[in-house]
Amino acid sequence: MSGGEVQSFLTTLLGSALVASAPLTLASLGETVGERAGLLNLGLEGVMLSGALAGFVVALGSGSLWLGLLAGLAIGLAFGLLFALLTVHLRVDQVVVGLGLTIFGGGLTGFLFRDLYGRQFPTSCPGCRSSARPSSPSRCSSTPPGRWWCRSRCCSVGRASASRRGRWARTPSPRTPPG
Amino acid sequence: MSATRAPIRAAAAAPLASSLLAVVGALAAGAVALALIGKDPLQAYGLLLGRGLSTFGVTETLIKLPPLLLVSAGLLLTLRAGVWNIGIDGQFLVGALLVGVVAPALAGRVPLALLLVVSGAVGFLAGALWGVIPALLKVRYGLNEIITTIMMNYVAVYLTSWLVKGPFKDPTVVPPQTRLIPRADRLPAIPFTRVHVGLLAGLAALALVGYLLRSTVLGFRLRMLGQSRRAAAHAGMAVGRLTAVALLASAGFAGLAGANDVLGVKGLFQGEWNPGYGLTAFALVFLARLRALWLLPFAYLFAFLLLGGDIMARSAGIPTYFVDLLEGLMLLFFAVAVALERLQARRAARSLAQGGGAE
Repeated sequence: MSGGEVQSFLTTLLGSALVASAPLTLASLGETVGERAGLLNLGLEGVMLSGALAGFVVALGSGSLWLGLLAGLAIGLAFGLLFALLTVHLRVDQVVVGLGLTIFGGGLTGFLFRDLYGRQFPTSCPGCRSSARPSSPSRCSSTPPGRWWCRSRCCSVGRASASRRGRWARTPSPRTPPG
Repeated sequence: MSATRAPIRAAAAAPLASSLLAVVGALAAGAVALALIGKDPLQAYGLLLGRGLSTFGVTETLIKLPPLLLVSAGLLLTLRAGVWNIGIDGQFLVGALLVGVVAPALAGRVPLALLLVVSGAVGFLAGALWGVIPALLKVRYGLNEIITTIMMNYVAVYLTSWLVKGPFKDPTVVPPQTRLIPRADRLPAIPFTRVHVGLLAGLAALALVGYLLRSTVLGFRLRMLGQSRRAAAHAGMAVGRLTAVALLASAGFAGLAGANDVLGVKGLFQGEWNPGYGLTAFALVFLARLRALWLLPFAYLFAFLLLGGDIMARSAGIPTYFVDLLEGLMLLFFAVAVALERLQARRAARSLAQGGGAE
């Protein structure tokens, strides 16, 4: 292999790695904020799948990537809201809800995908570049305003249990199984 | 006296009501999902019940039952000890792969009974081996086993997939799989049925775990560990060792389930095969409210649904993912039901306190 070939190979490799890392980065960014607040969301897998499908369907239908992005965000928000409602307000065990969301998200997206597209995959949507797969941010807190908000409140809750107050304080930690 | 007794009895029956509510809620929501994609939910559920309760359906359900029983019996043990094993899928695969390697090598050379015992032991130990790393990390360094067991799943999926494409592949066939175990060397059927004896192993495992938790010193220690780690440590129990025992036993049962599927159903280990019993087991054990006795009917329900997924896919064109959807919905509805149950208990306690004050 000549020097030029090696260089172009490396460039492609690193470039694809960056593209492939985007969904992981976004999801883990959001999860970092959650875990700092003492929440363990095992439902990320289901949230990501649902956001991805919503983004894809909307982008394909409307022809607009931005609308697809919005749809993914909205689904991520809805799932985050559901998770928060169940674990923080209703104080249900986080692992139960998280695993439930993962199974639910996987089942729902598989179910709808098969119904919408059968077994043939529409591999790209108008405006998407062929190498870039549609991905979606999975949690509200992966946006800068979300990070700012979280820095102000939740992280102090996750760090020191003594500083837990009010509604957050009653959230059961993901340690003890439900009886 | 009688005034105080009634609410307690009501509370004892309440957990089952929540689980049943979750099942009914999930089926109702599933019906809505079916209607949304233009299928007739009544017809689909009718199909499910009609075929599922026929002789064929019951037999097939009983064949699908053993791995669920084994996996959830082990999971019950760890959860009661306050330890989370989310790495069941990985432990299952490692157990299944090694049995897929060992059993064909033994086939024809040793008596059937010996082959089955050795293969079962290999499956159990292989699964347990996959649990050693999270157990060590947990006991030695206090690493959260929820995270480490999940991570070990990914390692197992890719490791077994590589092994079955490379060193352990049957060189005489094209697809990545281990050598086929001859029919004569698989789990024999229970007399007069088509159900293989793995079912008895599953029931025995469940009975063993139930007995262990209820009537032995080890079970008492595990339960105490689950109730309060600090109390267990204060009482002088070997907390680290108990944690490891709980995790390894569960991992071993997962490996045994792998052995069951290879020896009883498939006859070999295939690349890219991952039935994903781990998450199902969680849904199952939570719905059974961590009780060994209740595990049996719920395991039957889930095996029934697994079969039903196949039936509905073949006869009504409903995607098999529908079963996953139902399982997820069950867990979510269960979460809501538990919250409601707690709310009601608090209200009952309050009214009891007020009633007591008035007397």
